[in-house]
Amino acid sequence: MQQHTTWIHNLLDGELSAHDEPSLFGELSVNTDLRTEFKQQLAIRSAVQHDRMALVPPAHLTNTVFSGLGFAAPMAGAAAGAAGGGFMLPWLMKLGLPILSAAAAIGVTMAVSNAPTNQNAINTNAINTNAINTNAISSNAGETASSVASTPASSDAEEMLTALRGENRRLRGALANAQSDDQGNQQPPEPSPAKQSPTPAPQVQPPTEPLADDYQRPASVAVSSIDLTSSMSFDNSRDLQTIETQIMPAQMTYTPYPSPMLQARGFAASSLSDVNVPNQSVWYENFAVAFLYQVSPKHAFGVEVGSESFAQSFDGESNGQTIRYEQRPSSIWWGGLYRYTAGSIGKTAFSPFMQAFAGGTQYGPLGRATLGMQYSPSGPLSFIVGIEGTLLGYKFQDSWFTSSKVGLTYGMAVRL
Amino acid sequence: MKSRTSEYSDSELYALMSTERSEEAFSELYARLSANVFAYCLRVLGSRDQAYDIFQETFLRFYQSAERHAHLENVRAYALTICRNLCLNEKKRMQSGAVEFDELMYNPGVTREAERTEMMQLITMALELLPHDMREAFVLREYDGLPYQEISDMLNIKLDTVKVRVFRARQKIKEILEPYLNEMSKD
Repeated sequence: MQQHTTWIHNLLDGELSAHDEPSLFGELSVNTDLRTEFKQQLAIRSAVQHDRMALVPPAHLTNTVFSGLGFAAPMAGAAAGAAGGGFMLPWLMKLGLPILSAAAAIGVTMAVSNAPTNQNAINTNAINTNAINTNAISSNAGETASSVASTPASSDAEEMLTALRGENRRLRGALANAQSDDQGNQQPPEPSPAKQSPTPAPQVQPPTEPLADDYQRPASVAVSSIDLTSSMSFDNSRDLQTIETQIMPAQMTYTPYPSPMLQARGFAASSLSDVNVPNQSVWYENFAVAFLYQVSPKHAFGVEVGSESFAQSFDGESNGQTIRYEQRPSSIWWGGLYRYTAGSIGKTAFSPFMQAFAGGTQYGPLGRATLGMQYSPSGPLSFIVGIEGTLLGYKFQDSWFTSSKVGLTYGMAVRL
Repeated sequence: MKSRTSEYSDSELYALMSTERSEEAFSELYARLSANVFAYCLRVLGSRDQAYDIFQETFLRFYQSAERHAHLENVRAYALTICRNLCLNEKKRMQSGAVEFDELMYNPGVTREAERTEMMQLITMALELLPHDMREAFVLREYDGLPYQEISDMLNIKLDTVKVRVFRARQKIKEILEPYLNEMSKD
């Protein structure tokens, strides 16, 4: 038995001679106790191997060693894995920075975009107020003597009413001219009840008082009645469109496509690999600049360059030993992207978009997918917020490894 | 000139560290050797705090040693020798025959899966129960993966003695863990 046990140890050490192999295997096939001992030694060895793989110096110890020698934190170094803390806590810790960054980005975006949004809201209200007044006039056209109560809400409304009054005067002038021409051109014969037209001649009643005075009334505005004959029409809708265009030129007239676009964005992402080595950070970390060419409202192509760190954990061989490397090198990446922007959500300036990126780093190829929301208020500026997943492939000692990240991105673009 | 430090051998890196005081060379050697040194410190000393201190001291001396040696054949064995000498000094200083088992000796940085492996914790406990010479030979062989001959050279003992110590250590650990191993085999 002792001999067989020695053979088992020799086998584990890789030193069992070819001569002894058949004897050991033959004995193992018939000897239950020896087989049990063999299994136990294998279990111990396996546990030791796992223990050895897990025994890496923690990050703070590595930093202490390097700082003790006056060196910067290492790019590559054995480090600890993740500490415990349940399932949710690590994820919350990972997503804490991205969530805070996104909240800050949304705050900045809202602050920047609030002013023009409110202004637009005022304009829209003014238009709506005027539209009510105009519709009231329209509904009263053809009727006799009706009035609409209205309170102007802003100076825009005042302008609108002034324009409407001008139009009203023009119409009345035209009607009066038509009436006088008609009276001038026709030599009225002796009035004869038999030849009298069944339809009375068109008449325009002069306003009982000037419209300007009507508008000055604070409580209500009495739009004077207009008598229109069937031979005249008042195209309110066309006139309204014209007025709206004059008031809100920025929203209705926008730069046509295609157009180039410059975009700057930041991102906060967490690695899905448990690597506790600190980032090798640079001042331009987690920042990217892109040049996009928007060929249509929905499709854009571009190139992007940025910098971020990638957590890498991989095994390598050195002197016959398996060594685990952990590092977070910072890398500049570059590549091409395609963005598809869907239509606006309702009548808002928000549009969802999807983006695919393919490029590379000094370590290997890089792919990225982004799903987000684009906010495009009036003017050339637009803002984006989204979530994105990144996958980096890298090679070490002829073996491929991957590093993946998920996170949030936020940025601003300007049309050139 | 190789493009990456990972392409250099241990001896070449040590030579770079010696001649150029290269930080990159040290960083690469640290990446290669730290797990060995750390495992030795932790499993031989048994105390986490002591292991941390000895680990730091080892690499400090390892870097300083490059001023005296331009070339080394076996850099890993050299680093482990520094570590071993420091561990022996520490043991003498503590003047305690048996090191109390530290429940927290397990590196908090290890993966959670490993932490939860009962078998690994039992191995650690079993190692604590071994005599120092057996434990040392076992750790150098199983944890650091050194060949018997290197262990023999490093410990300055006969090759057969090393084999016997490793053999006895394995058998002792098996005996300690036998009840657990039997239970495990039933499952």
